[in-house]
Amino acid sequence: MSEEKIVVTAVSSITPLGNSISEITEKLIKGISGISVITRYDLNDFPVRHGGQIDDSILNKISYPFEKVNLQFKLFYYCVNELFSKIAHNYTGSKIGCALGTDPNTSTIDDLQVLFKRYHDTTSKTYSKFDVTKLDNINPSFLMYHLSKNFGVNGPCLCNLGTCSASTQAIGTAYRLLQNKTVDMMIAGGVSSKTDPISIARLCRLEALEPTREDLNENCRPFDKKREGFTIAEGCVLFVLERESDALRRNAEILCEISGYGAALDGFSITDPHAEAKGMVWSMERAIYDSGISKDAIDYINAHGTATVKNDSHETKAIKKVFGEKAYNISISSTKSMHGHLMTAAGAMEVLDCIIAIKNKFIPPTIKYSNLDEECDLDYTPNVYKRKVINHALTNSFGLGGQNASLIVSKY
Amino acid sequence: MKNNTVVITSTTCVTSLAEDPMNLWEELSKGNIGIDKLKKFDNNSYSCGFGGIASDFNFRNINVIGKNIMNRTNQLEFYSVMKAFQNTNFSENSLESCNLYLGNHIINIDTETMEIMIKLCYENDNINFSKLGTNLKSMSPLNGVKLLPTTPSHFIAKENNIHGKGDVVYSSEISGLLSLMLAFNEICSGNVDMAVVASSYNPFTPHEFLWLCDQGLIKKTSPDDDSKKLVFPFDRKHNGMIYSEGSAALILESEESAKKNGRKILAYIDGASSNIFAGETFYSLSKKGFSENINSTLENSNIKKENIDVIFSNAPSYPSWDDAELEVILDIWNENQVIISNSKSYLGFTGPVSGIIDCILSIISMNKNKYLPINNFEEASAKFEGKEKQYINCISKKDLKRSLITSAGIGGAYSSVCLRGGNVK
Repeated sequence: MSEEKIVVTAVSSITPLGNSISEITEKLIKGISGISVITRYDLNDFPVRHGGQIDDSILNKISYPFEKVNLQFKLFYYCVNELFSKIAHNYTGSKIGCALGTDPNTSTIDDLQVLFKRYHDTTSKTYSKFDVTKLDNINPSFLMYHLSKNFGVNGPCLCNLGTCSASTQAIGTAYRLLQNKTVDMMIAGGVSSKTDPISIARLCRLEALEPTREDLNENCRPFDKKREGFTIAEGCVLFVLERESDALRRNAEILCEISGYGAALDGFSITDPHAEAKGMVWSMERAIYDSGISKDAIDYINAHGTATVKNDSHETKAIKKVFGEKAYNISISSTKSMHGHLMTAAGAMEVLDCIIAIKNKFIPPTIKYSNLDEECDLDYTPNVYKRKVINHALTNSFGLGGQNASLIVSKY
Repeated sequence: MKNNTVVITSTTCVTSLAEDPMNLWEELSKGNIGIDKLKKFDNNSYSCGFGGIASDFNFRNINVIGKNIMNRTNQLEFYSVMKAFQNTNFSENSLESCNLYLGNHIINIDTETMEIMIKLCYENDNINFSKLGTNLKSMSPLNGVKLLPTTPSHFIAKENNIHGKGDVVYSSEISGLLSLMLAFNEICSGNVDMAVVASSYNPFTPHEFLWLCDQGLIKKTSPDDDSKKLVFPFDRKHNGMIYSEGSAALILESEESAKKNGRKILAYIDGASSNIFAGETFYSLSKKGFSENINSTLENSNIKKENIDVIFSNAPSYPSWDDAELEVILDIWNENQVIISNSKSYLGFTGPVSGIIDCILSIISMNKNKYLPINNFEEASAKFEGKEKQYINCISKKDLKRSLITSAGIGGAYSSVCLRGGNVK
């Protein structure tokens, strides 16, 4: 394995906490929630009507390669455009790749209406005029196609479909492809926009989402005894990753080092964590081992902390198994309490949270925390941020289907 | 940087012609075709009525708790991976740190969910999904699970006690070979000793197939067509693909691990690469894309073009895709001898699985030292001036030691891999 450091040199984000680093930093320090009543779709008849929403007006500031583009495409394209405007590189296209956490179907509700109606009309023999190119953007490869066409990216480009750990795994893949010198630069991160009625309906049937409460301030309470499920959110967070020597050569600002990656399959339950939290433990241990640092060197854990009953108690159990007694002395937080669960973009969002925390020397809080759960008895940095120098942060992402992934984000 | 030699120690596949590699080879050697009329659903209003169905595949006899959650794509993949492990001497403990790479093509919602939603939400010639809110209980709780892309990785991990990394990746039709490249890199770098690579494809649900028909890459057929005369890779009569379902799995290991455990080495992986070169449209493939990718794989493999004996080509019988690939092969190999082979005229196009199936066929081809002729090929389009004939259906090599497998798909995606024959003859 290459001894060279892999570093992050640029970021672009559109998140429920804002789009600029300064905005997100301020909200993470002050503990301000980006969760509100979802207005993009009519969810009045749903038990879940809240989520972490982005301010999508920013998306109108640039033009897109064609007229009718859906929200996920806009999110991705906007962030890629911003990334390339920030960096001056001279890598050849075939040495630039992309790894993106996303869903197998990147359609919006409008796309699905077209798709469903086409099927309905055909099966009921009431044919209507149909233009299939309207549906091109339901295929995640469409994002990669335009990354190549409009930004000259010609290396390996892939979508990671690992549900809630997808973007953590995507960043891990980018890290590996840079280590083994398959590429010189990677765009890596995640995109998600699933606050639509179909996604909400499916997750409601799984009983994964917390019903909307009368007072939204009572929604989304990771590690709190009264937690009842996760809060869905949307957004896109993308990074530029390079080898340190290349970044230094082009005088790039280095935001952090990605120093370790680990992942594991539970092989236990499709919806629940492993009863003994095995996958979570392996994922964290592998990331720490890969980084070459000792467990004692971890200053902060950005927990997956979804606010589902099982995730939070199992993640707590896993942290204790990995760190032993030291677990009680590590600062932990779930930033999802502020921005919600960005699903396939969650891992990337939380890497960004770690970068901001490292750069600004603070532990972000877990907000809305008030009731101690005896199964969740670690230091979750309740409600108020803490000043602290962070040299190494561990960030966790655990997804449906027993996917577990962890990254070590280190100060540079 | 560690540089492990990576080998393939087990292969399996389920196709419309056979449910294991050796039987598939036998069927292909006899010239049998796995394409037939589609009978699964009313397709009278579709532009194509043919496809390759794995009709002998039966999941009912598979004893797995919770198997009802798996759709046919997942069932096919699960079955292939399970057989890959059964074919050789893997103990449960040895798989704990094994990585799993799945390169599937699962885009659309399943038919059952779609029909329920249409039933609940269709009003005034429109679909109003907001109506789901008052009808939540009409949706099965499993609806949220059935469509998860991680469903197959869960079942594979659970049944085989696999707890390494599980990557479910997608990049159109190259997803299978892309997965192989990722696994190869990880073993080569010494991050892991063993990995399973698998891919699965089932386009034969009514709405998925309708979507494919609408895309226009498919061949337009009529009920009277001869199922044996539909797919013409590289031939001037090519005018669209015929899709097929299937799955395939490979087990990759470091050579050291394979030897230590006494496993048969079916093939060595010399190198692989993957690229995106956007063409004019989302559906175009270009000479540049094929050329850059093939050259990149040769370079990564540290192999000269003249050392490649056989190419298992992508060519799915779609004219511009076939011609771009053929032009590049002729340009690169020029006066150098190489055999161009292709499985699509027998099996149809199995999407992301095709690259893995072609790896399997190339391994058999090298280990048996026999090549697979291209069915339905007479001559390429006039612009080639017959130059292709020295490469296609013409025995130009005595020994088949090294193969190149190409895979390409929509979005301008290209992937290829170089394999070397193993120690099984």
